Amino acid sequence: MTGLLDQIIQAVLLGGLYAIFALGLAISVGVLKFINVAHGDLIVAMSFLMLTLTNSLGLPVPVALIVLIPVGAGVGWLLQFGLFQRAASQNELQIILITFGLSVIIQNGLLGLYGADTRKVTAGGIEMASINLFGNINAGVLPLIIFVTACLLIVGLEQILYRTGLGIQIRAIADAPAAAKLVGLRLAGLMAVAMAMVGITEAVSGGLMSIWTNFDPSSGSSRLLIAFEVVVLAGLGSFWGVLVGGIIIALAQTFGGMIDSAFQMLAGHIVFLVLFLFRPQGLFPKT
Amino acid sequence: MSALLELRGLNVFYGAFHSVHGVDISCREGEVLSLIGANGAGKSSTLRAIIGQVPRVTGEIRFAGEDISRRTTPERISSGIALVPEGRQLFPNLTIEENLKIGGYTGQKGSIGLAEVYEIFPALSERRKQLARLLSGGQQQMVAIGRALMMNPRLLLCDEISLGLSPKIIAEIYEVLPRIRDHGVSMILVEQDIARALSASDHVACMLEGRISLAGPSSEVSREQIAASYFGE
Repeated sequence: MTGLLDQIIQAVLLGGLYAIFALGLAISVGVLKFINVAHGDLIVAMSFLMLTLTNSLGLPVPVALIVLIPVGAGVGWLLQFGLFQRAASQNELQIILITFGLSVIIQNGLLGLYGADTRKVTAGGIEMASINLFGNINAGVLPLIIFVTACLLIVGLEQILYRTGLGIQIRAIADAPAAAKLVGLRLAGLMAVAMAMVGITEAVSGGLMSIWTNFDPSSGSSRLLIAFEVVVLAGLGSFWGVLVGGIIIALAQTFGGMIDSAFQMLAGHIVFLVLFLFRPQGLFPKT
Repeated sequence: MSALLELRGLNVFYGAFHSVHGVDISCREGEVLSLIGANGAGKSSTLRAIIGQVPRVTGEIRFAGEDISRRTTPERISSGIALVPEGRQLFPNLTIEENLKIGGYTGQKGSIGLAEVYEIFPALSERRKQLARLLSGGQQQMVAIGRALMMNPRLLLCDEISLGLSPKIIAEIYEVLPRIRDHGVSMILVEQDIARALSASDHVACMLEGRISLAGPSSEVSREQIAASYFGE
């Protein structure tokens, strides 16, 4: 019984990492109205940047994480202004194709720069540290930090989008872009800000992923798949739903792994498909 | 009174289609001008040209003495023009208050804020947290007008504000227009209801097939003249 409870707690904490993977995609799909196929690769690119900042430049892990955030925001902003905005004025299919091309470019760029080896950022004692929750149940400090970070990101995004003028304007352009033009909202600038927010979530998830688990230049597609499943499970517009979606996928994987280790990833996909069959609108759609 | 808005030889094109042909009209400070005509006469295209939302325009659009023809929609709105679009064009999943605030973000600073809009439309104040998509047509129209007022415009462009509403609600909306005018706002009303347009405006201009077919003070233009211009008889 204790073992099962322990597994559930670990799965919930893993759900936090999955939620961070998915938050940026949730903004892309919900606000910017396109599926960014390069989302997973941008996360992995941030992991490699984290590797460079810590291993090559010698920055402490917390400092490197902080440095990643403005970089992620800048990358998001530039991608929206320089690339996605132009494509969005053509048609929706074109922008998806462009993000697909961006995905290929990022993967090959990382392969050229870093090689095909699997990498991981070493964060020292924190990786092995754990705290006792109750009884014989322990939780790793790093997974806990990641889970709390996911919660803080969600609170931050909810506050920005629902409590600030900037957020109201971003939600307005997502809700009715034609009306937004008629009332003088500056769509390009607002969408670039939204994409900068996506970039921040990619930076945070890439940075944290680089400490938690191994990664290589081709890891992006598996991250994208998890993020996509979590966003669809959550339903559009619900950031807390993204956390629940992440936890559901992680729990399914954990229970699948308990049956057979080869069944671990497949179990997550099966649970996603079953839930999607019964609630295609997602579990917590806001609109 | 000086002209707040002047259109000189305005042409509007949608691709190869020439929608508005060399229109000259002006609206003076504090004036209400009605632009009437049948469907497809070019009234809404003229308003959209003024706010900067048509693909191609030639001619001159002067607002407060400046040529604004090359300015973007946000620049025109921040200089004092606001549009109440046909079909309301609200943000359906934003609350009433959020819809109104959007106007405040894009327009000029001025004397009209949320309190003033709620004073003009008390029905909105009671439902400020309600989503716009859950409102009746009349309430949605009030939000659309309120949102435009939050921009503190000097010139308010109203595109078919009576469209799809019951006579009772239309009367309520039109009763509010003098109060908006009291805030120093000039208006151009696009209407198909001739009687309503004449009673609410100082001047009237009738459009037929993209051209001005009749223009003059509302008090001096007869219904027969308008009917003739309206249908091109």
